[in-house]
Amino acid sequence: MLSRVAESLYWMSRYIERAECIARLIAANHQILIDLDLKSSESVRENWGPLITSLNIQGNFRKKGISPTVENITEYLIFDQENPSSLCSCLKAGRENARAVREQISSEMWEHINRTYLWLWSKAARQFFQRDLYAFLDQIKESSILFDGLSNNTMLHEEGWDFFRVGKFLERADFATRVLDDKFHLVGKTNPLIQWGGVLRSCSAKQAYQQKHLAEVTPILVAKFLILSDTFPRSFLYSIQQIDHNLRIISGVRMGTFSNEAEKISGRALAHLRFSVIEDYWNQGLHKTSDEFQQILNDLHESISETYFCQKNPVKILIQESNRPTQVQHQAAQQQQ
Amino acid sequence: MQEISLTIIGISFAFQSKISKMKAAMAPKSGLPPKSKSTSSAPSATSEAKLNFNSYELDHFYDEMIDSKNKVRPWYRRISERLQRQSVDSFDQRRQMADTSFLHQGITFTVYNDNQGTERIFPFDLIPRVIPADEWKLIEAGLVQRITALNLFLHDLYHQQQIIKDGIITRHYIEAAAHYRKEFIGFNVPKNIYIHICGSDIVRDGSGQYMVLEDNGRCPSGVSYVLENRQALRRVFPSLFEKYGVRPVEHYPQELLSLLHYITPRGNPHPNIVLLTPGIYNSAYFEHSFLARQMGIELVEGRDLVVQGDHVYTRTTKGLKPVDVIYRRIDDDFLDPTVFRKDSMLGVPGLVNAYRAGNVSLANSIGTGVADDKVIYAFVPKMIKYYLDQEPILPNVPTYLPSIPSEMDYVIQNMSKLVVKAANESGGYGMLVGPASTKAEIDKFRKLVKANPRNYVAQPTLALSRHPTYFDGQFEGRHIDLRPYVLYGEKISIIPGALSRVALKKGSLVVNSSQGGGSKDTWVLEGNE
Repeated sequence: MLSRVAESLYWMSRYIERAECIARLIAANHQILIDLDLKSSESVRENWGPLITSLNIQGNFRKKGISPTVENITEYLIFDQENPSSLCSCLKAGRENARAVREQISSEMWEHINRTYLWLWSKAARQFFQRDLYAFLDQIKESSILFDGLSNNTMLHEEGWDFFRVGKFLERADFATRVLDDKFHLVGKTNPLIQWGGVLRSCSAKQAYQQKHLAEVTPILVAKFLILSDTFPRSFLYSIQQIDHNLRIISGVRMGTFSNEAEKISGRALAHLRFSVIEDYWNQGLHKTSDEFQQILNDLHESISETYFCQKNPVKILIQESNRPTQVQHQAAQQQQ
Repeated sequence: MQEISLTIIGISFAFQSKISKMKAAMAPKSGLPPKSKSTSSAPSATSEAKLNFNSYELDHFYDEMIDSKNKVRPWYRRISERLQRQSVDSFDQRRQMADTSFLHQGITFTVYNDNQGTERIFPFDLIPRVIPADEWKLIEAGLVQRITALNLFLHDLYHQQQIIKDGIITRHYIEAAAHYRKEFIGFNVPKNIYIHICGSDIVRDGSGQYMVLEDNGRCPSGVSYVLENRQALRRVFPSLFEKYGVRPVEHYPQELLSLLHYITPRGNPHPNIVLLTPGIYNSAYFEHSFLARQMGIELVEGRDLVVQGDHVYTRTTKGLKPVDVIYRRIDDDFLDPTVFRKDSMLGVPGLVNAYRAGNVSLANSIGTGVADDKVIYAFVPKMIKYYLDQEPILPNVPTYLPSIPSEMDYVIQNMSKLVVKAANESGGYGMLVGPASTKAEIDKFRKLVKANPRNYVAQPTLALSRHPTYFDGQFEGRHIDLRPYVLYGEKISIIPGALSRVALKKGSLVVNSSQGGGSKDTWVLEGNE
């Protein structure tokens, strides 16, 4: 498989999963505000604070001269084209990647992502958003899940599929760590049920959690569930397990051994998770844990890129790198007969 | 990829879901159009008003469907009857269905006159253009003759240059052609084929005479629309096809693939064939990915290829994989920055050396653009005579060369009646349609032509044939052209079909997609009606 194609499949999958995660994040945070009956800007800051910090919303808003109200933040997270992680931006990037590998994916996959993109950028979507935020966000989530199902059922389960899965679970693992970090500062504060219930809901984990731990929602149990569950498909451990699995299918190396840096990192992380208890992470603080996990994910991405996507014989770039996209666009547009 | 065999079967399913999507899209609910299980196969009509040709005007043009006595030509008779049984509403719904299906499939091109890069569908008119068997035979014979002569010409040009020595074409014309590649003189191209894929533009004048307007022997585009238009029309208007004997076009990708197989260096029985695209920013990107998918070959960009020791490889996740044949959709200029344009971001350094070493074949060959030069075009009838000792079956459009002093005078004095074209532009750019231009525009072109006579040609403004085209509940005549696709491999083959482009703007003669053109499905019939 072409390295570029593998990379595009990986990113296509990451962006679609990211859009889903962002939709979940917005829904959960809105739900918490309603549950706590909070409207004042102070409580917004308190509850959305970490979200605002982690996405660097504050800085961007100051630059634009916008105040961080719930409406503005929501707008920023969904429609803002300058925000590279907005829903619109994610779907655009996901679709661009899909287009670049159009001949490698099924028509069903392509048409689904294309329709979703066209819809999200349409007036109809905007009206739908204004009328019913939750239904709008559900639509995004379902669209991502449908895409996953279409891929599973129409794409060849060969190398490309494995890159697709690796991308998806990297993004998922990333989301799991962010959610925990986001709510870490609330430990010991009031209404844990609502706050941590919100965390679970953002991962669609409420019922799965209850099946394991009944109605007892405590921060440490929630953390345990989201980090160490080996059967819940959005937990950190589960995601790492999938990445490790798919990486080994790509290279054909058996479990417990490795042939490149990426496999070494995923294998180590998996062993570490499997041979840990939640207290190991809880006692050092969720913030620190989250940072460590983020580091693992970054290293994984770097080593996957290096092993599979990178140009082994880099072409001498004759023009400044920053000019490249426009220059390529311009030249590509010229080829016409 | 693996989809070739599924395409045909897929139609009926795709058809159903398209309709349900359409209905949902028109319903007031504004969520993502759900894929309902609706099985209705035809839109229901609510308006009783039927389509008709009562107010259709010929305006003294040659009309493809209706003759000068206002009678429907025999090969359009049943289409005309079937159309007139349609209500305006049901026709509109079918049109909508086709448009939505193009949009959802991403069969779009990008317009770059703003920074946004807006995506548009290539407007599709539902009324097919029909060519009876006898007329097609003529077109086919004319095109075979033409591509044969052009290939003989290119071989001669890059070897003995006998045609220059014999005084048929002056050396100056050749050497001033922008796409002439002197570096390739003496080089033997694989199987001695230069133009493998040719898309000549054919028009009809006021008498209905078919004539060649230009040859596109570099990277002609549009063939994907021939296939997609056919599929779209079959989906939305199946009854139109009943018992018509429309010849199929779907085998084009297979024909193209066997051509690419044929030119494999050293006859490797399992060649790695790739399609080289300039990437997603190119207006024909859809077509590149469509053809790659249909042929089951890899679509690559310049950065996916690397040359080592005069061999071309793709960069894969498992290392480098050798490439044998490249169907390139990038102009010569951008192919290899070490040989042609140094600033090319699209090409592959070292590709030309690998080609010269005979380790990789290119379709089309390097240097074919010289035949696309509109000045050289003017000499094609003479080439046919010179190389084949035949009369051209399809004539050229009369062409004046301002570089000849007597013709310069005529061109300058009559510019307001002529179409003036830059010799090396395509896509409808760099041209002047005299009768439709202001005095200032004409003056500007007078200056341009005088300053660089070699770079221009002039042709009489043709009364291009027209075709009924649907606008708001009725039909209006619009000018059209015809681009068939010729494949030159082990044999010459032409799929019985073509791209018919329509100038949608009333009175306009420019059919290019970048200039507001649309397209039609083009039927070549088994018989004559």
